[in-house]
Amino acid sequence: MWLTHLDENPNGAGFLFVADRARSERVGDYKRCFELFDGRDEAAVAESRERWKAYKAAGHTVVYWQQTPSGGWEKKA
Amino acid sequence: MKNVSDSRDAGSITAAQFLQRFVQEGVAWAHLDIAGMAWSNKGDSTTTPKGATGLRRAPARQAGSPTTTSADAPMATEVNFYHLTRSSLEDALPRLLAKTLQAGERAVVMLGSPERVDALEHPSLDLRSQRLPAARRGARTATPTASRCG
Repeated sequence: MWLTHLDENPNGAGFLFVADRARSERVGDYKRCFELFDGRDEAAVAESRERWKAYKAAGHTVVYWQQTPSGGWEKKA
Repeated sequence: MKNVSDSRDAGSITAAQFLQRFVQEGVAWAHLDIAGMAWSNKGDSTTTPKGATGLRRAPARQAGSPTTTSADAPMATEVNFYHLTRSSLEDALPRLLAKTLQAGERAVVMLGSPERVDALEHPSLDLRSQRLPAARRGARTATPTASRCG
C-alpha cells in the first residue's frame, strides 16, 4: 500500500485509488482504478463527470457507485 | 507457405513471419511470443513469484490514432467512480483498501497534496486495523522504498 501525492507506482500495484481531485495520467497502466470524489464539492463532481467521459472515450470500462443510506455502495452504471 | 518448423527452434520468428502475411501494409504491429512464461507454478524465486508472471501495460499508441480498437479492448482499465455523499474519504477509503488487501492486491493511493498524505496516515484513522502496517508515504522520501502489503 503506497500513499502519495505523485503519479507513481513504486510497489507495482494493480489498483489505483485517486481522491482529493488528484489526477493520474497512468490509469491505463492499472487493472482497476477507484476515483473517490466528494459529492458536496461541485467542482469535484464536475471534474468527475468530465473524467467519466474521457475514460469512456479512451476505451476504459466505467462504473458508477452510489452510496446507500447505511454508507455502503451500490453499483448504478 | 510453411507455417511450422520441424524442430522447436526459432518458433517465435516463424509465427511472426506467418502473422505478418495477414497485416496490412502501414499498420504497426508486434508479436509477443510469451507462451510458457505466462504462469509459474513453483514460485521459488523472488524474480518469478507464483502465479501470473506477465507484466501488463497499455499498448503504445501513435498520436492521432483511434484510441478504441479491438486490440486495445483487453487492456482497458475498469474505472470505478465512488460518489461520496454520506461519508467522508477518511471513512470510506480504509474500507475499500481493506477489500483490496483481502483480494490480494497492491494499491497506490494518490491524494491531492503531501499534507493530505500526512493526514490520512494519522493514527486516528487506525489504518493498522485494516491490516496496513506497511503503509508508507512516498511524498517526502527521496528514494521511496516499495512496501509490500499484507
